[in-house]
Amino acid sequence: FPLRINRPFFTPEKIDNPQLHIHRPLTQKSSASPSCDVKSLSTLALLRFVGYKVDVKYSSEPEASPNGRLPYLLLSDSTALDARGIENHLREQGVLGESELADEMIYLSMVEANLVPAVEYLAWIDPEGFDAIGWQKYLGSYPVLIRYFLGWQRHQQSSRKLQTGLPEFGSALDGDVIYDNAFRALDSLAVLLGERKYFCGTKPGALDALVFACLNVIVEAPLKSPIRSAMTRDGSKHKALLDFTVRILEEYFY
Amino acid sequence: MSGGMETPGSGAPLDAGDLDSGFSTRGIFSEAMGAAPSPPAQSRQPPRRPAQQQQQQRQQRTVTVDISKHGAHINRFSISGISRIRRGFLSDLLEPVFRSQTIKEAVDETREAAGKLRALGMAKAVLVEMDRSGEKEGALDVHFHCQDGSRYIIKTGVDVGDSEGTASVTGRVNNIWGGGESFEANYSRGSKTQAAFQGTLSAPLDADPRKRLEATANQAIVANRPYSSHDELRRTLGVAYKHETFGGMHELGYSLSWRDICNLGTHASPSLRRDAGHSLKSSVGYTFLRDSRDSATVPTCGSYARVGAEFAGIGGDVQFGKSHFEVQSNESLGRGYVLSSSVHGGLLWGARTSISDRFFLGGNTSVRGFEHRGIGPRDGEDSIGGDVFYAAGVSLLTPLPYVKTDALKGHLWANAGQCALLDSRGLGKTGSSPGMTGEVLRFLTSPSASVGLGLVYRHSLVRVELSCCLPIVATTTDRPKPGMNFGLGFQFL
Repeated sequence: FPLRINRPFFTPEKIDNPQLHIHRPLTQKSSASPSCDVKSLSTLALLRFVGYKVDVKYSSEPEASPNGRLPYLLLSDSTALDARGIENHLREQGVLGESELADEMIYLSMVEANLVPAVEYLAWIDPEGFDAIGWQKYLGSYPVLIRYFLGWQRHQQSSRKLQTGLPEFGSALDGDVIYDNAFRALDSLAVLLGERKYFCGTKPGALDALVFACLNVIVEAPLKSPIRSAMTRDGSKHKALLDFTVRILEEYFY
Repeated sequence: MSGGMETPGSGAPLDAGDLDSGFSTRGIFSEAMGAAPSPPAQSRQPPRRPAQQQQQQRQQRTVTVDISKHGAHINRFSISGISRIRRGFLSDLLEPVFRSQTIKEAVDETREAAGKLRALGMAKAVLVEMDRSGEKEGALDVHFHCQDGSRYIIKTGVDVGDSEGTASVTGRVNNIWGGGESFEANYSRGSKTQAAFQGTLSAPLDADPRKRLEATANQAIVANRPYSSHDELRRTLGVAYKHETFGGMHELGYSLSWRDICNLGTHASPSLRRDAGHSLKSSVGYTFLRDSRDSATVPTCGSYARVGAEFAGIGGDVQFGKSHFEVQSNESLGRGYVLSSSVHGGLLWGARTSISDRFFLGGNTSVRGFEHRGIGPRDGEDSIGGDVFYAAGVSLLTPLPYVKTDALKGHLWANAGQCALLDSRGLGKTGSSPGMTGEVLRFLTSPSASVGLGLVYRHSLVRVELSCCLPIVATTTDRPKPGMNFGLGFQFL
């Protein structure tokens, strides 16, 4: 007393299903390239593998995510989870179990250290790749002025991050070294996959999701790159990896 | 424009100590009064007479000269004491002076020109000397003795805004190119605005300080985390034309603003995440301001009106139309009682509005008795602002018994207001009872309200309030704040 309470003039939007916010598709055909971003695509693939139903929302704003990077998952109770939080959530829900591959963590580290940098180089450093992926897809929704500044900023960040060599001997950004490391990783993955359907055994896991995301972006990007050329030419020793990528796409995204 | 000039019979040359905003016209009026008869020789030393008779005689000798009817024009102008002045600027400044046809016009226009020099900071003080021209009949020579204005100013200080304290450093350069231009740079840090930098280049048009062109660049980080779980980084470039007339101040401007909603809190709401990230606003705006109050902080008479409109969409990725108004009226009831009333309102319309552009209501300088941004749409713990709002307040200032100072007064008040979104989350909600029209009607007739009483202190810089607040109407998303509230700021509801 004497406060009189009225009904509010605002009703928040109801979230019926969890929403996964990811970067935009690589091409017009979203089923062929569900996202231009490796982390977004691998998270989406993992959710598809475990059968966790989400509504996919395309976004260009990593600031909306709890950790400042896409993807993030918005649950029905308005809680937001970043990529690591999503994996923990899936484990808590019991839908993501232990991997059948004993050394999965080692292979994940290898892919993140050798293959993911090659995709980042393609998107932000390579001039043709920057036009096709970085400028068009990551920054496409911004006005030109902001695009220029954010593109320059992201280019500088990637240049510093992708430098190879020891600092005391003078590290440098060398595309050839980055691609060589990527090819070595692909060779190891080709051996690991062999004749199997998935890397992790009878069902796909985190390693399958990450490798699929890297290879899908490289193969589907509308430009030529050494890795794409090596994987798609006739008689390529990486044909099994290419088939793996197509198989995942057909099974979980079409 | 060089050299000093002595007036006839003035004795020693003027120095800086003699300079004030004075005016010397000895030579002119002696000519204008030339028809007055000189007293006869034997009466040059009149015998002693009673005081009453002497006063009568003085009155009889008084001659009234109507200088508006005496024709005269300015023949020569000279100026001394200003270190830097552009020829083109001086031409614009003196054009009305040289157009004068009578002594009165000449006096008025030269006074006006001297005032402009002071207003532009080009001179601290100007002494105007006007005398008959030795070159032409019926002409006048004018000389400005100026004390040069300060070229560079650096100051530090602590400022108070609306419920915010800031510490700042300001540097200013006056009269950059000899035409009254100035450049001011300011850096400040505060409780709400974490870091802000602003640079403003200002230049008068037609040598008139009331007509100015300003170019501004500023960057500010505003901490909204306590109320809305985010920070906002704003970088703005703008140009504006300001014109002060007797009716008020008009401002027409264009601004380009890059906003970044960032640093979202862990528990930021979905509505806030929807608005997160970068946006570019390119807009033109107009504001009219008229203030006839005797004091900006605790007025006792006069009125204040501010009306503005902004349209965004010329480039950028934000499109909206926005209008707002603010009206305040103050009436003295005698014996130290003052009745004040004010009304605010605003409307923002666009396909999709952003938290950066919306209105917020509630707080010690807004609707009292509620937290800052405590009225209006709220998603979780985040106040997300509204597209439409109104607020009204009425207050009575009273004298206090046994208090001799006028600066401290008693304060009785009542405030009310409401804020809402126009989209499907707010008044535009469809498919529900009682429908959009019903919701709009309910919005207009169901404001959140509070009453209270307390004390008001009028400082030279700011208004200080201490009030006991009692919210009486609120919605479930509002944040009432009953009890003792302390307010510090300039503009209150």
